[in-house]
Amino acid sequence: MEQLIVWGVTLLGGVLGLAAFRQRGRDPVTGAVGGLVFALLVAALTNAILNQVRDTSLLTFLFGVLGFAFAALFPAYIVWLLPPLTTRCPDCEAVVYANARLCPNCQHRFAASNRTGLSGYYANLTPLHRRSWLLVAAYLVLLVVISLAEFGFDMAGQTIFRGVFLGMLVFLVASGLSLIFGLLDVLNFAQGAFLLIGAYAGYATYEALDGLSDGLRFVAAFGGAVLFVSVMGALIEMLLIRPLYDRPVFQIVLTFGLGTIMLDLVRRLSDPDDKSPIPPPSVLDGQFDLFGQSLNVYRLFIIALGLVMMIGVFLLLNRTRIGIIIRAGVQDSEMVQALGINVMRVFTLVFVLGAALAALGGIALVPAEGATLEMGSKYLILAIVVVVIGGMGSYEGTAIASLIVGLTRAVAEQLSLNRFGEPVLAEISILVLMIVVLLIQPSGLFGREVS
Amino acid sequence: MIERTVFTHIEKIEHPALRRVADILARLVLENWLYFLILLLLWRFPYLVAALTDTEVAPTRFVRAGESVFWQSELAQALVIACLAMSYNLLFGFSGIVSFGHALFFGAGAYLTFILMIQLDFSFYQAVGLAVLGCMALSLLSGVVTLRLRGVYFAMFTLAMAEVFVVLVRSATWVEITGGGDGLPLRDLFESGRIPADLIATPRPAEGQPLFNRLHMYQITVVFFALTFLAIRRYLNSPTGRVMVAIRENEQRARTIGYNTFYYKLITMMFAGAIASLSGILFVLWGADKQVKPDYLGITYTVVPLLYTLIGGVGTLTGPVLAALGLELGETYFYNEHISLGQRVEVLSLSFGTLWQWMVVVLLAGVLWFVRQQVGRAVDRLTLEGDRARRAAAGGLALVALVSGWLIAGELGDVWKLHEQSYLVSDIWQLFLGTVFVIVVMVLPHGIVGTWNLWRVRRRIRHLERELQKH
Repeated sequence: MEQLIVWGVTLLGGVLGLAAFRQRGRDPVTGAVGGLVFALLVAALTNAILNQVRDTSLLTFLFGVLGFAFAALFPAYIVWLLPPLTTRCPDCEAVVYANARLCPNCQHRFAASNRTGLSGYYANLTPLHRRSWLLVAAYLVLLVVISLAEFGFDMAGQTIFRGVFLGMLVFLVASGLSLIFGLLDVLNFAQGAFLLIGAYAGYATYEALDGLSDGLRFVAAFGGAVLFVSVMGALIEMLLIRPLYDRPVFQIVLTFGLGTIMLDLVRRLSDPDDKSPIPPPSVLDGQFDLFGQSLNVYRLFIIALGLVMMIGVFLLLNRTRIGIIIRAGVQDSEMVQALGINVMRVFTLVFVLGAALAALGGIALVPAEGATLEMGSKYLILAIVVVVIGGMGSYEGTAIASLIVGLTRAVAEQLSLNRFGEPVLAEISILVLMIVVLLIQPSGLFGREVS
Repeated sequence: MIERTVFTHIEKIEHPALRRVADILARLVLENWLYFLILLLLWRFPYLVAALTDTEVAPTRFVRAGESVFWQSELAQALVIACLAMSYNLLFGFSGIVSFGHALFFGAGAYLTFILMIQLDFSFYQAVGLAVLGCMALSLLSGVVTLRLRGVYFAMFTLAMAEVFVVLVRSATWVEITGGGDGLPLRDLFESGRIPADLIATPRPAEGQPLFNRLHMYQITVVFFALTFLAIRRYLNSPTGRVMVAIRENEQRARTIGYNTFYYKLITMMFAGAIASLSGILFVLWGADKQVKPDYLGITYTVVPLLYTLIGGVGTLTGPVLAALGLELGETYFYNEHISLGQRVEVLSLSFGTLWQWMVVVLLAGVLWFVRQQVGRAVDRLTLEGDRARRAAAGGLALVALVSGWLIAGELGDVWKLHEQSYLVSDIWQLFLGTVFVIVVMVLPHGIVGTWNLWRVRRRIRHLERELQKH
């Protein structure tokens, strides 16, 4: 059974790798070789996970070696996706640093729009967004100072850890909301329901695979949740949202209604309503001490998952062909269509991506906190606040705003617990934050400026 | 025809003032006779039900509350929800403001009234007045903050705001004031007699005497409903209301003409907030459990008016009312009924297959339509014959598919013994509402009344065109 899964995943990885390499625009031979390498890496990773779960594989040694290769090669693959470090000066052909402002040889001035990486990013920012970064930095420092002054070092550390944890979860919901809005101009109020269904579908998968080992069931629960919600998202986009692109208000209303219908369906199909947490696999099960508090390793896993998704979606958007189509679509989808790209298909893909991210957040929550019917609306509200603060359709805005919202909520909660013995400030703080940001900058911190 | 005869007679009146009065009266009756009829029907509804079911309109100690008393309460609650839906439609349909936090005013009205009564010992009417003023202030405040935002930001902001208020009410900090998550209990208030006797829906029957409290309250609700309807109609016909409609059609243009659109939107929001808060108070007074629940602030009571507005018809006066009354009363009427997928559809004792077969056929038709839409071009490329032949072939194929689907579904239904499993209607009502909602949004964007109006207008235009061609 497990071997079957390994080979299935290998095949899937091969296909995915081939597709990925084709998207990079390489020739077929490179694509094939790259796809094969990618497939082997995926297989190695899968087997490494399985071996952690049950140490009985015949090919342990081989896959162990491959696992090491994977560990070494995956960062290399990421680096390969990154832009080159050097470039040639157009005037004197000298090799210069890619982000240089001036050519050291001939004083040729590089245009800001050609520069990449962090300095290029900063050089291309509008003054308003530079101010936003300044505000964000000042606000984060303020939060840290307040929590240090109020709670002392250990408690402050715990609070900030909790804030980052919440921020990562919120990011998974909010990034989908922001991506979908950016490209499709659809405000997807069903995003919270996707999170909810992800959690319950994952739980159902976990329960259905009763005979397998814990780790395998855990992986299967993640896969099942993401797959189920992806298919559902694709169907919803194609059947219900696509006919409504010329009636934007009805799209909002429809997703809003769909959210309540899905909640009702989950309530009807799940018995009992609230599910207790599923045990994480032994690798992720355990305690560690941080800031004088014993914490579950699984929380670190969620934070890592959020970070990986953050970086992964960033790379997808910035370093792949489909990413450039998506970004172009955000700018002007009609123009992209005029260039001969089937924008409708990209729309579906982005909708599925958003839904899958939300589902990932949902199933990731189940081992930590179990599943409740309220989790959808709770995270939807937070995600909405994040997207409003970060600016609609802006990826870096969503990322930084989810961190801010998570931290604000955690600090406010702790603050009001200390002061009043009740977490009242938690919700108000978020609303106040949103109002303040909207008063400062009505299009959100990093949103496109409204004329 | 009637109009022509009436007005020819009026034109013959000599005295100008008399003619004018007669003209106004005739217009009033001729244009609104249906509304008058419906109002009369609503007013006599308890007696009508009483006569039909042979029960009493008012409960006495010795006669148990019958059908009439039950339906009074149900119709009154449906009317209150209809008022809420109308106030929502005022925002959504007539001014293009898509608010997702409308329940905030619905719940806040009720909460404010009873908190003022319990905590600050205000009398009932003072408290209601203050609560409505408070809700108008709240909508003014939220309008000032939110109306500067554009569509999507506005929708999200209102949703988040309403949710935050739910959390605040639920939180344990002010549990003495708000009652926390369990809701604010009003039983003491009702028993201490501080609420006017005519506004208590479930009075204790005294010795032998029939109690007319509930009937009076029903009549008050009907009056409230009629006044709300009139007020909204009058508002829409006023200069301000006209500007509102102009803003819905094109805000940029309204601003260019010189109207301060922000100001007009604020007025409408305050008006809708006042109506919503009054309906909230009445709804709590009608409630059987005599408490103000945090749910009244939450998403449910935003979804409900939104649903009814959409189903009835966005931007029509009567649409939300019809949808609210029909669906609310329908839910009550079918509450304890059982429905089964294998149930036979019978019209005049002729059998038209089972519900399941109809569902399968409708679904199949939808799938065929979708496939036709998706692969239509490929089909066009493959079949190079004439247009008519292609259409005939496609239609024939679709017909064959539908008929065979019907037959196969019938067989499958028998094999699966669908008629043996049945569901309680109250269990699947939400699902039914959701399905109706999705279908209406996808297929009937103008809602039921809106589509009807559109169809009538089109027919009139066609008629006029034909007349023009004749001459």
